[in-house]
Amino acid sequence: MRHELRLASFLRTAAFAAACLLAGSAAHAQLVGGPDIDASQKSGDDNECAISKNPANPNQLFLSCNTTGPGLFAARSLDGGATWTYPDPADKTIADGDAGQGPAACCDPTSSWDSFGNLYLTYIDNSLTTIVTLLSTDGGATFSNLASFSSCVQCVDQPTVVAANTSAAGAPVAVWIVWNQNNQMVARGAAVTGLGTVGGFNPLQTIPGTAGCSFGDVAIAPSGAVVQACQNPTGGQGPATVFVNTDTDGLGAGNFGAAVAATTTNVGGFDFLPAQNARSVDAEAGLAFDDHAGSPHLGRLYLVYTEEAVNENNDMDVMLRFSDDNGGTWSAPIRANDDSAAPIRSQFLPKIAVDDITGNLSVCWHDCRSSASNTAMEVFCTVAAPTGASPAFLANERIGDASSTSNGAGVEFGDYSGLDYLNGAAHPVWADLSNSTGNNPDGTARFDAATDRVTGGPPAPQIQIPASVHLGETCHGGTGRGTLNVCNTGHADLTVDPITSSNPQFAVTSPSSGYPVVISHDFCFPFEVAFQPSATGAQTGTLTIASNDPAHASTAVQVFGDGTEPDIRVTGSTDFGVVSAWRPAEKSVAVCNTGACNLAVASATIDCGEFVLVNNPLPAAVSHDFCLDLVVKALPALPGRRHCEITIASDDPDTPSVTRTLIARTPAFLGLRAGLAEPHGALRNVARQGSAFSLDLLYPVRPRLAWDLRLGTSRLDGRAGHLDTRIWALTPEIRYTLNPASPVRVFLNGGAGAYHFDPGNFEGGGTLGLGFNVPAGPRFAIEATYDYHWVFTASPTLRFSQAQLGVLISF
Amino acid sequence: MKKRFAIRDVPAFLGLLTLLVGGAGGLFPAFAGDALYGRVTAVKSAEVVVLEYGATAGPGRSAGRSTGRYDVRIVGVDAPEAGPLARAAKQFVSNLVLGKDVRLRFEQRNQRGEMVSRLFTGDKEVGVELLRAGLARRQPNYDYKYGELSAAESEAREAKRGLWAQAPPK
Repeated sequence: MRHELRLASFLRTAAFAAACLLAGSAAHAQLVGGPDIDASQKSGDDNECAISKNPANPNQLFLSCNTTGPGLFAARSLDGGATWTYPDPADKTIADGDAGQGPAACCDPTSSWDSFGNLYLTYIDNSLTTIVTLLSTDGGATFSNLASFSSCVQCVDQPTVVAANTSAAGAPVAVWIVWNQNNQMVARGAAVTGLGTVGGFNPLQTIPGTAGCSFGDVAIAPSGAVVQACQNPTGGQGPATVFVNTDTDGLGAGNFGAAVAATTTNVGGFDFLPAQNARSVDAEAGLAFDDHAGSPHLGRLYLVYTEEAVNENNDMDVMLRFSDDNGGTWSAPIRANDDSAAPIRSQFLPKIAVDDITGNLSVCWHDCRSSASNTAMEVFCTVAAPTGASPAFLANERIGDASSTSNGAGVEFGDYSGLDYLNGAAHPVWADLSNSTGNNPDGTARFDAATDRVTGGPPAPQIQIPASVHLGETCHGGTGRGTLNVCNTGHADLTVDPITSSNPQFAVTSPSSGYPVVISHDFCFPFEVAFQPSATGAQTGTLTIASNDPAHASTAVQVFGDGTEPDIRVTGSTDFGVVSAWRPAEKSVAVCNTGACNLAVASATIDCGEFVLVNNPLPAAVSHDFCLDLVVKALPALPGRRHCEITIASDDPDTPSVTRTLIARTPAFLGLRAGLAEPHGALRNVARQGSAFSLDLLYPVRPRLAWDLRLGTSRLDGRAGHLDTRIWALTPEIRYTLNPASPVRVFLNGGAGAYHFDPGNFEGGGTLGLGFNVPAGPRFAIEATYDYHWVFTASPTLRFSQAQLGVLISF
Repeated sequence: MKKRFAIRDVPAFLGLLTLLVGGAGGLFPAFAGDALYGRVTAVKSAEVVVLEYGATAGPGRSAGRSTGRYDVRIVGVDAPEAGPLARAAKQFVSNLVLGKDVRLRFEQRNQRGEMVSRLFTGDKEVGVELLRAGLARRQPNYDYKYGELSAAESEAREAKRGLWAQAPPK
């Protein structure tokens, strides 16, 4: 359902529309012809002209005609037909025997320009034996020989060359040439893949059912199918039939199909009329496909021809039929000329062309409506849009600035005229005897090639995009929004289909329904464009707007955005140093956002219980260039060095999780113990049980492991006759705690030591021991130990043990 | 004997002169007539034959379609109207085209309703062959784009054929 948004459009865009300088419309409901231009301005006669416009550069046109004397008149324009220059300025002719200008020509030039910029010029050579095709890749400045086709002697006539884009595989452009050869229509075609890259022509195809058929045309469908038209019989003054044949596979192996009678006509192959009473006319059937991609009738085939209301009453009209099945069936005829039925006036030599950019079709012809004697002709044109079920022609417009009356000398206006239509401008070309331009060197005695630039056409919408869309910076994961203004500077409603984006980060989000959007002329509609960056940095995309603008079925608009994101940085020391339960430590960890977007910090987690977040504000948002402090407190429950991980989760797309290591260690302990000392072995012979005292400096490395530097002294009472023995021992030991997390922690210890006996000497030895301690508050523990000592270097080995009870004091 | 310029040479001279100046003189029409195929059913004179086209005529003829008839005047030539050379010329043309399939390139219809045309049979053009045989003259101020008629006439003149048998050498 069409979504009428005119009012909404107005309200939402009034301010914009007021400020927007809307260009004047190029679309008019009326054709406008420019001043006639004498393109040849040379002595002698020029007639039967062909004209082509370069799709790759619509300012370039090429024009060629039969001419008096050798060769073909040839001219080119680089300014849309306003002025003309000549490939050979010396004589304004080519194919006249001069070197490098193609084989000498007889006549019947036909030309076509493809979208690569290749210009094809086809004609009959001077022997009437060969169909010659020249190729120009420089806009008609120079030519090279492309192909020469000859199969019989003095037997060819009425060639037509056409080139068009196709969707056929391997043939982005196809070029076809048809002609009459020995009273039979024949054709050859080739694929074109680039400028100057024309493939070989396929073998000659004899078109079925065309014996005695000629004076026709050829057209290429968007699919690559080819259709030719011709008239049979070629003699007499009618009636006759226009036949068409279709080669559905184009350049494929298949040939043309059977001839289909497209229409009958009372205009015979040599039909004399007052305006061309020596030369006569034929029905001059012409074909053109609608290959405008945006056309509602893409692929429609038009056939223009001349009809005579009553055979030999000279009331000739220009008629149009169309086919939507490549020529299989045809519509009823539509009269293109809009003069009244009476008095009888002749319209003849029609030519049709379709503007590939707009889909409009133009028909121009010679028209005697203003001639009381029905002998003087003026060139008229009309245009129809490709809309509607069938074409509706605009009012006819007189294009020629003055009338021409045939000189009756056999030259006359010829068998055909020329027309091309592209980019909204039609360019008819005809043999002119009026000298309305005043620069025909022969005055009104000889024909010159006259042309015109015809603009205007059916009322049409015209899309205008005032500016590309810049959405600025948008955070990754966020959505930026902007406005795409689509304006209609034409004279008919502009309908816009859903707008697509080449980059999924950009999308038109509003309106989300109600398409097609209809925009009245001289208004703009603001489409909302959303930007959801999935990456950082500059992002670009192309929005494609499909509309009913005949000149721009698809309009591309650039959209720009800059994807940004938050950037998390975690700073601050996480080394807590020496920490104990009675002397805890706190550190601040700064969570900073150095990016351009807000940073959402979801959580901070620590994988052990000996570090805690004192103040946990998370989740929290951190603006760009700001920091959030997390205070971490170390509370080691076990002795030793502690490593834990703190993990901070955020929406930073690059580093959604940041981990830092928390480091702390517990302090050393001082142990003081006292107890009993017991001699063993030989020592027992001289000493008895005594006292023991130890001082330990205990440095925890891990919860289970600690270095223990012990200084102890024992006094053993001497047995009878022996002195008391005092033993000093300094023993670095390792302590291994079996169950560091238990309330009663059992440990083993051992090490080597230096012993001094008094009386006695310094000796070396070692010790093994076990013990347990029981924490009593965060700073103290009660400890009981038993140690057994061996003094190896004494003789005999001296042994003693210690059983002590004491306290551990944390620093 | 010293060659002399003769009044009757003027048309040929003008044609040749025009050709030499590249056609700028504008003496030649722009020849580009449409082609028609048919069969010659009668030879009225060396210049005029009767051609039937359609169901009974021409290569690729389309049986069942309308049949027409034209008096075809060979363009650009003037053949003797009476005398032995006139008979010879008519016989020459008859030998070439009578009862044969031919094709023409139509130039214009004249006041007599004749279709003034170039006429071809096989690989020969009748008008050129008439001139080459010395059985016709080229019409004044008329030639094809590349001087084909002048060339043929000159060949006959040089060979002293037909009309040129008694002519003084150029």
